[in-house]
Amino acid sequence: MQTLPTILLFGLATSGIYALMAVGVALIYGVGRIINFAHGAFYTLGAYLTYLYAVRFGLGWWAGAALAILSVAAIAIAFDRLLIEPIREREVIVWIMTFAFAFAVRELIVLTFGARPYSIPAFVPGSVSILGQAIAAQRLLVVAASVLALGFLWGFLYRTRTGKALRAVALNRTGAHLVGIPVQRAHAAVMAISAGLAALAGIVISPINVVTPDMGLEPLLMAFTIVIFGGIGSLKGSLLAALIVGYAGALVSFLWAPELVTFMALVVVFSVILVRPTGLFGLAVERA
Amino acid sequence: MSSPGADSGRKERLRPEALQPYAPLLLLPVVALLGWFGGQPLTITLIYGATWATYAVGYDMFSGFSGRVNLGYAMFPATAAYTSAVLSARFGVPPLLSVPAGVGGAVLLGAAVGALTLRIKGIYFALSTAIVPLALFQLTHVFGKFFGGEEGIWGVPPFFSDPRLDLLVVLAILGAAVAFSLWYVRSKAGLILRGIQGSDLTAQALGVDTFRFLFVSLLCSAGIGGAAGAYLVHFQMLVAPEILHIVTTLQIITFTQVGGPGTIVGPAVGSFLLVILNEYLRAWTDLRLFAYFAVLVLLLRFSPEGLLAPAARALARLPRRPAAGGRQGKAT
Repeated sequence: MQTLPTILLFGLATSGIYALMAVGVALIYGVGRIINFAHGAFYTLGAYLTYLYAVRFGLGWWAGAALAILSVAAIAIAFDRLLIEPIREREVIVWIMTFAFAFAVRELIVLTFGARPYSIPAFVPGSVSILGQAIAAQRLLVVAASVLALGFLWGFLYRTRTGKALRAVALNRTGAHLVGIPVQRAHAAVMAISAGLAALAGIVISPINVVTPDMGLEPLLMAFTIVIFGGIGSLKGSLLAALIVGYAGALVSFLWAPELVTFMALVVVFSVILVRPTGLFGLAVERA
Repeated sequence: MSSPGADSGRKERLRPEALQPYAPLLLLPVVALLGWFGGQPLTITLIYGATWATYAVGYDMFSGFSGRVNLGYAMFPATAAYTSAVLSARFGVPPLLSVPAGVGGAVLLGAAVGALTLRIKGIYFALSTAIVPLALFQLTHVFGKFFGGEEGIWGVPPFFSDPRLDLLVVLAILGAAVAFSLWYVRSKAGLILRGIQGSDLTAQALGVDTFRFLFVSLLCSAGIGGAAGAYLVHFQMLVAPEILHIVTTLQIITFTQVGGPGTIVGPAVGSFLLVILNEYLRAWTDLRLFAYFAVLVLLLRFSPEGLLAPAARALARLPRRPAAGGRQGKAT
């Protein structure tokens, strides 16, 4: 029997994953001016690298997860520096590049691990009873991890000098450049942070779902839905939209069918783009 | 619409130089001869080559000149393919009628999508077009009884039993598409499209009804992709929902990118080259897709203008494109 607390908690966990993804997409767009279709690849890589480090290298799940996040961040820096930076000003080519990179990563994963699904054991086994409902402890970990990570991100962006510099680049690149902020390093830093958050999302969710080469597709689609819904480039908008879309998704999959969630997302995006392209909190479209 | 050569009017069209941009069409008989005498596997590869080349030309004549990336271009070949397949396999309509009906379906879809999306641009246009094939894909599954769901539609009647005749038809479609697109993009309308790519605000300030030009161009683009897509189902004798996958559109964009966007001929030649390359890579099976995307990444990184672009542009006497992505200003 599905009851209110279950829906509340499931919705919160889903929102957390979506928020981790969406905030990264929004940051990369805000600071780096890139629509990053490769974000799902970072999510997927996080889960696979965790498996690689934990099982094949025998490091254990916690160390494997930490190392996987760092590796994904390093890969993201290389991606930004070597592949994106030289063509950054060519908007369309950058989109295709991020797509191509995502598919290349997918194929590399298939070559290395095969197309079969993997399962990862829960980081925190067992379940917790909340208001008489047994909830898997892993789902609570998802909520805790996303709240913590987003809290740290907020503190970093709004309380530190580096964070301030990143926000300055987002506001005005030329101006930031003029006052001596290393803009290219800001791009790389944001790519690394966002990729790390995506990897974290992929890792904490993988014991609940399964690990497959295409696991990143759905969260990528949802992240774009959320970013467009919340207004491209607005972090607060993305967070609020993640909560709305996460809960709407949980409701739709409880009341009707999980397959309808994607369809719902498509309807949301299409209507928002047509009716209010700036989203809930968007800046003027052409600020971008 | 106006005639080719902006300052037309006189007999200029009869001068031999005026035909120079169309010279690459002479390659088509060569391809036809190769396919006719080269054995069945080559014939089939060339049929696919010509089909993808037509898709790429259709994509390029809109997106390569207006700068609006149609991330859902596969919706046009797919709609035409499904329309023609349903009409001929389910209702017994002869292919000679169902293919034009398929093209009509694609153009209608183009009109609907264009009416909704052409007033927006940049990433918003790209994303909203990308959503259409995703939604159509869901429809083929929701109405699985009618559209065959996962399986697609089988038993579509063929035109000919000899694939060499099919090759002649698809090459004719390609030739018509290239000739029309070259004429179109070199006409005044093409000039205006490039103006819209440069700055649609300026174009509007000059009194140009930008929507109308984009709309007509999108309809032509839909019709071209539709013609090739509708014909292909009768050669394959089936249509599967994979054609609506984003990978189809990405592949079209890749071919265009390799050939040189905004040159019409470049994307067509690029498609042939890549389809043939893909055929030879088949021996590698596992590595094939990875090699494919890795090559694409490297091409984008080291030759963002496209490999064949300079040659194709010189031949068609098209100007260099404005550095793409001018929207972003000049920071860093």
